[in-house]
Amino acid sequence: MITLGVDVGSLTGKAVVLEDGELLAWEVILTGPDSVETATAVAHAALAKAGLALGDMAAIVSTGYGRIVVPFAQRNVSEISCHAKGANRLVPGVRTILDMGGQDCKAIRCDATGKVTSFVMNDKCAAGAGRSMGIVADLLKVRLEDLGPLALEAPGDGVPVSSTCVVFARSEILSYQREGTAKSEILAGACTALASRVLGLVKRVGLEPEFAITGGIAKNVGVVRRLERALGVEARIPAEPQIVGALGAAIFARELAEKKAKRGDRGAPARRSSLGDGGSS
Amino acid sequence: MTGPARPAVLDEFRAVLRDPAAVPRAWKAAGGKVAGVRCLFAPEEILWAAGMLPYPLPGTPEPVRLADAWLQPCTCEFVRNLLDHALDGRLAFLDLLALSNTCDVTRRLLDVWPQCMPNTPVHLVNNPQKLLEDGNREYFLEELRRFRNRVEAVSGKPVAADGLREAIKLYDETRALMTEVYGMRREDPPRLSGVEAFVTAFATSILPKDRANHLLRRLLDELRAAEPPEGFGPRILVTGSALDDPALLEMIEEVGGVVVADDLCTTSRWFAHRAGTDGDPLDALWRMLNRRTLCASTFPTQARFDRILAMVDEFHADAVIQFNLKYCHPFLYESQPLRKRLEARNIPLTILEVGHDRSGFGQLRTRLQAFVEMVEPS
Amino acid sequence: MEEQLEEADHPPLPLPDLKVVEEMQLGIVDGFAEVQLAKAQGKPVVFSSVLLPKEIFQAMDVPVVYGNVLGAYASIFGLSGKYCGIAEDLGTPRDVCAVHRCTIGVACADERDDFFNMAFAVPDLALANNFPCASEAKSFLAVVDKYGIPHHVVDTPIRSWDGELPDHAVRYLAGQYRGMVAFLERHGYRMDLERLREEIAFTKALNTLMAEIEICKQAVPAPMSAYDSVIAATAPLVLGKEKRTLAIFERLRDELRDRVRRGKGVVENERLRLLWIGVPPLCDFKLVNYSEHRGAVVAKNLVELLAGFMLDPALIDPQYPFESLARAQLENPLNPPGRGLIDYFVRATREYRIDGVLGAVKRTCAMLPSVQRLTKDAIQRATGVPTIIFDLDGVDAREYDAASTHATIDAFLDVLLARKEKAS
Repeated sequence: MITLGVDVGSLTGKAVVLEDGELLAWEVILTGPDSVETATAVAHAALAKAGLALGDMAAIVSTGYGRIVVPFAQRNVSEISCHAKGANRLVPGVRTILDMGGQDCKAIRCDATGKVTSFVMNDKCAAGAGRSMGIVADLLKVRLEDLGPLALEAPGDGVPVSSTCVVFARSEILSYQREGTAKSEILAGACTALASRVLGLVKRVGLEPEFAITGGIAKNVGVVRRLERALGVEARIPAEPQIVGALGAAIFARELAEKKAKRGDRGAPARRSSLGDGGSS
Repeated sequence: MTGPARPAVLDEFRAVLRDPAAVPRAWKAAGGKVAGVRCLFAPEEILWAAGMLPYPLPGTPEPVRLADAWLQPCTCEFVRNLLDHALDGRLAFLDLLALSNTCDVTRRLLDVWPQCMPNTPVHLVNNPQKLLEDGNREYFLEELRRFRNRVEAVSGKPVAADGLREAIKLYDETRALMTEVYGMRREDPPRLSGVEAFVTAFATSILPKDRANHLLRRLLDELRAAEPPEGFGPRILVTGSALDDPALLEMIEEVGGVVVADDLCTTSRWFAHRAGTDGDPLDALWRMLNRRTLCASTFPTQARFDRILAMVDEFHADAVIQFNLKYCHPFLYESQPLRKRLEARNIPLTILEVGHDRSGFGQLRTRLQAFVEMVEPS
Repeated sequence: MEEQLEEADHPPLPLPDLKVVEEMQLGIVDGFAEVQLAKAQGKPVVFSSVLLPKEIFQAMDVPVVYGNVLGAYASIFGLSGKYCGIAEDLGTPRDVCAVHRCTIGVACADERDDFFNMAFAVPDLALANNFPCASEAKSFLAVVDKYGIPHHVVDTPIRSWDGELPDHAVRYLAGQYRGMVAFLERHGYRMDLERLREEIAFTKALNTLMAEIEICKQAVPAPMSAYDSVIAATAPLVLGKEKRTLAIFERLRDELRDRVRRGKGVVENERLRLLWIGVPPLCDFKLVNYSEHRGAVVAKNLVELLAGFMLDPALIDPQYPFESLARAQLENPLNPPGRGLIDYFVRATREYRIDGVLGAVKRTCAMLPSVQRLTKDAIQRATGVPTIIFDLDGVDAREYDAASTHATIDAFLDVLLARKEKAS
């Protein structure tokens, strides 16, 4: 049985093809302005790698902020459930997951089957999210992937950078630059700020080992090391932290297909939909 | 939509929500006077007895524009939105604004409103915030008398005991009918959806109560005759600060939750208790208001939590969604204590921050969907 | 004291300008420690809002931890980021009042910094008051939940009535204060009405002294720095011990009168006089004196009201203790609606011969900022004096930016100086 999971995120689109639970192929592309196009492009790219087509899929599940508009998915599942499911596969025994995406950040607790038992999401502000690192990298003219290692060059926590607001942090960083503060110190400060912001999320959801970090920022050692130090545990980082959500979606697709097969393909009962144009004032 | 046909009378309630101000405008056109009401302690019965239409001010889901010159931008978006309506002339029909002593920002309207609509008098019923106390009777009754005097002066009509008793009777009937409508949500699946119940309660709060009672009786008949709608997914209780927009409930039901009960000041809070017509009518109103420990601005807090837990039991809710309107401080402070009460009973809760202008609804949908997926049996 | 703080790696408090205020500052620290003594003796300690009648606590010998005073001190010591963070980890939303977030953090932390090990004791009872804002009565829920202690709320009506204060309101609030006494009596304390009358007489005497001090502060040049004023205004909270407090305030008054006689001001060449109408910058306390480097003195400050001591002595009659307390509280300019505060500031602008008004807006305050805007208009209309409204969360250090605050104040001073030059 082959299934497909598509994760349309704010910065990147991800797709994973699974065959009987084994990873067959995956792809990551940058998100374009149109979520439907992004979903279609990344799905086809992943399928092409496996030499398959959409019609070969037993089921397709979408996730990510663009999940609702993916035309070829039979079901959409929230990225929170998908990350738990995917992390459960990649990091056996995982119970707490910190997912740091481009636009938002969430701390998730799950049980042995990868079902969510509790979760916390950051505020709408970008200060706790990956995008804030992009802003910092741009300001300091550093490549995003060099940011983490550079930040580790500073011995301590770096200079204080606001964890509250990106706009605020921006003005602070500009004044540090004017004062000639070393890049590594500023980057260390930015990583400390981000770590302290997401640390609150982990504390609120409650830390229980195994602890895994997923999403793009998992690749930033500057942030990861600081989080580990503050939490006193080692973080497990899946080999490809960005595709965890899409993998989870593909697993959900497999479960969906199995259920369908059991019911003799009668289809799931329709949920009651909301009442059309009814209520809006 | 799919599924069995829904009661036709619901369309009448939906029509009210599409343009709530049409109701007071029509009243005004017929020669009546209108009082804007904010919060639950300025009794509408007194206004009705004076021939005025009480209009519990609803907002609109749009970004705040003009009000930021008067109220600082990090305060309640709902109140600032109402002030926008006052400033751009959408509330020009008001003959009186009747406020209650509730949150900081509502009280602040006492300062700001006269600057924005100088020709509309404002009266604040200075209700005690500490309720369920016999000791507040003398004070609260004097506040109700002062409100009555002000209403008499504005309306030009005396409010006699008999007239007030009649008004209470009418309102009690509305409250009884609404309670009966909500009772139908105890069934599994509920006989009406969360959005339908919200629309009914909210529209009823806007309509003149004689008209509303007529519609509610029709609704009850039609609901008894109709097939119940299909309802799958976890049964959810929604509680929180002022909600004047069904969009949140629509979203919960779109992602698979079934809203079986709501604890909101636009809905069940206003019909939770009846006054009765025994004895002095002001005294009857006091007895009812003294039990309205339903807003986070009131004390004792435990009474509010107890009611939420009782509603969880009564409506067989699997989970609770508490939404906080952005910057609604009283409810923000109480969310963690409420979480503890629910955790002690093993009832899942999610706390959401909601922008009155629907900002951040994309992320909100993810949170709601994940929560419904979490409480759904797998 | 200074040593202790340096050991704990906190920024030391600025040194007061007046010797007698420095003494007060040290007395405050000693006062904080008294709660430990009471705790050791097994007395139930009360966690309370600041704006409840201290006279009742004193007449009943109740040891009190004033929650938001500790929250304020956390900010003053540069620890607001830490304690706000602790409160947020416990689920306190970041949008609620920074002072109360700090307070929740201090009260609910598992471990505290040195100062708080002295000033905070695990409470046995909690009292709250919904005056003048919701935060006062709501933030204590976290503390009640944490320690599972008996609690009681005092309900204070706002002053919504035009004209004279109506009797039903005075009776109601007096009844609320009697309810507070009954709560404390249920938990082992006894009220001695004679003591209460003495305490009220003391408050009256203290407020009379404070009114005389305010008259001195109106002199040109201003004899007292803003920082000293803040310390003096909050000192009675912890100084207790009537005789000593009265004596120290008498000395302060005399010292100020002497300065006024000699024409000695806090700055050499006083050029401007300012009024501060927002929440003070606790995490950078020096800021209240910042404008002095340009010859501008903050001659009057809102904080003098916040500690709850600036009551009108004319309203206080020791024969009717509860009614006096109720009347004074209801007429407190802080009590909403805003006209009380607006009138107070308009009067202050005239009496303290103010040239410009600093309206720092604390983002997380639901109560004051909207009044500040109205105050600006009222002062402009009545006196022509300009106000600058600017964002300043001077409580949560994570949201505070000294450089931009200095720039704002400096730019405003430029405007004021140019105005003054043009006028002369």
